[in-house]
Amino acid sequence: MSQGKGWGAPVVALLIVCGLSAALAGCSQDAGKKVIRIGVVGPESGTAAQLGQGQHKAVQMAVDEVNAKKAAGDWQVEAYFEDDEGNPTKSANAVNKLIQQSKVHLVIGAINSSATLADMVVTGRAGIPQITAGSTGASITQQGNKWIFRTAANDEFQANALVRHAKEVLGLKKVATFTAADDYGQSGAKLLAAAAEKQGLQLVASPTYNNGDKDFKPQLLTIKAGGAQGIFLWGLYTEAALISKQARQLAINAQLFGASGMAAQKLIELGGEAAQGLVLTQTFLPESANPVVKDFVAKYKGKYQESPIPHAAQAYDTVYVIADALKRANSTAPDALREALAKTGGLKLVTGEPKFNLQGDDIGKYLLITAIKGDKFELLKTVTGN
Amino acid sequence: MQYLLNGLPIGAIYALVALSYSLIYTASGVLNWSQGDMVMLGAYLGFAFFHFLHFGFTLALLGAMLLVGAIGILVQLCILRPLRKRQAPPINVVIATLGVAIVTRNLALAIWGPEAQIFPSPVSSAPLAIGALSVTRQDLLIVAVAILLMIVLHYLLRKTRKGKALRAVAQDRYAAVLMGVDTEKSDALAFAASAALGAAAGILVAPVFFVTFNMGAGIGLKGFVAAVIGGLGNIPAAIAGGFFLGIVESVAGGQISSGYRDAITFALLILVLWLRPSGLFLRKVRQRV
Repeated sequence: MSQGKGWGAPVVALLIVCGLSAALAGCSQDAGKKVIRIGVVGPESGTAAQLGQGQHKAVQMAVDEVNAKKAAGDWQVEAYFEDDEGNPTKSANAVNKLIQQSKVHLVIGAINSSATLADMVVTGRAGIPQITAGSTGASITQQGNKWIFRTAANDEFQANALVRHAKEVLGLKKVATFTAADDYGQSGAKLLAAAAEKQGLQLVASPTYNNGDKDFKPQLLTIKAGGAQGIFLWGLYTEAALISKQARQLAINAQLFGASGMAAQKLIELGGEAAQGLVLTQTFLPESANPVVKDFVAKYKGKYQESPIPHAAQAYDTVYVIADALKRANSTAPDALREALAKTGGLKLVTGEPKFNLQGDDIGKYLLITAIKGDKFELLKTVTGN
Repeated sequence: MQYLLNGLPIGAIYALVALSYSLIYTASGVLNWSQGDMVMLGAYLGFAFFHFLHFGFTLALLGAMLLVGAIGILVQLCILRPLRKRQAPPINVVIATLGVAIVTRNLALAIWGPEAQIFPSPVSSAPLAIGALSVTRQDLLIVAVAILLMIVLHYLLRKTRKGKALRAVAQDRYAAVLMGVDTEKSDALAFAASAALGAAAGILVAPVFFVTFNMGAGIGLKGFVAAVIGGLGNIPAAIAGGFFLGIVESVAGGQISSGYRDAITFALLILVLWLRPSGLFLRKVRQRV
């Protein structure tokens, strides 16, 4: 017994010291190894599941590659995934969990703009960088939050490009917007209205819908009554597919437009005949002749037996942006990482040559104007140098 | 006018679901919250018949109705009957049906995944123009099949022995028992018929709205609202309530604001409960099948 007592105190002290140092280092396994932990949050179930699953797969693939070819120097990258179902509350909780339990140094996500806006509050408070590879809502980079970066295409660039295309290429005069009643859709509606005014197009109607709605005919009739020649949709693919179908059922033959948020193979599949010819902006086409794109598509198809969606390509690039910044910063300290991310340049990636402006928007992104033809998105033209 | 026309097919769907709520409510006094998910099951089973067994539309419709009807009996047998035997309070029964709904929904999610599935329309989806108005063949099909099912149900309730027994139980459960009616059997029949009606609504609406694991939640709730607005526990009133709600939603969505469509629906429900608690289409509180 007395011997036991004699050993007890040092052992306890040792345990406490170990525990403290483990807490300070983040995790005890890290001792001596250079590890960066990336939290990834996105909708892996729910109506935008395809987008979140694409992000998950692409990040996993990029992380494996970066570790295998030491793209981040001698740093080892680890990814931790959380499903937010596209719900802002669940998303913020997921990011909290990633920061507190998984001790991540940086967050990739989310995809739904309203979820990203909620997450930014959490990462901003914790003081760690967050890069959204899927959210395009203009307000995200207008919050004055220095921790946010965006590797998706800002909606403002997309709205301008679409409206210009409607006017200059298609010669439309009267248009309508039909947008989701969430942050993403409403920011789109505002940007489209501003772009239409700038281009001198008449906006005849601008109804909204709630995510999960099934019947869009009342709003479509309002649009039809206004005599719109073009309808700009701003939302996700399930609703966009239903809207295209119901528009054709009401004998509305106006040109349909959409933004990158709905650019998924599922849109073509669900929309069928009615979605043919729909024009939308996106940042990635798997059929591109660009060798960087070809290489990525081949690897992704080899690993997952499916073609990557744009959200996957952007998420893949994001991991490389992080690896590059980490190599230069050679530290996981939040400030050093942020500084290095802000100075990103000289990379030629799948969806562009990333370069961040002061707000954190990637101004080196390729913006492709495409149209649905058959079961593919066909490239109409590429806009660069925003 | 076009708004009115658009309200009809969705109204027919609401009417079928409202009918299924009302039928169970009158026959066994239970509010069955799993009705919406019977709609979803019907759509998925129809989808499975269509895709994997290559059934035609009619066969898929009948097959799904039959199978979901059997599931309805299962629900009655495994949930309602034991609870009744233990003389559980009605609220427990209602909560148990809610449990059935949640289990069904999550099973569907586990089996079929979160993605929406396409259910091809059995008829051409090109619009038909009637003057300045346009309808689709699918819309006409929905309304026609719904009305046909209502007529069949009416016939079964009025003319067959089992239907008469069901109505007797609805009128006075105790007296019916004394007269030698097997109330458990008539409950099972009501559950089966209701589930089958829900399944039919599911298949009819699937080509228009796609098939998703959570499609039952919205349709189920709206169907219930329609039943209450019309007058819960009365079959013609439930049908009238369904069509009424469909038209109100379509017109209000177009003329007032589509963003507030659901708010308008539920405000209407509160208003009806307040002013005419027995429903818009019933004179006084009474039960009739």
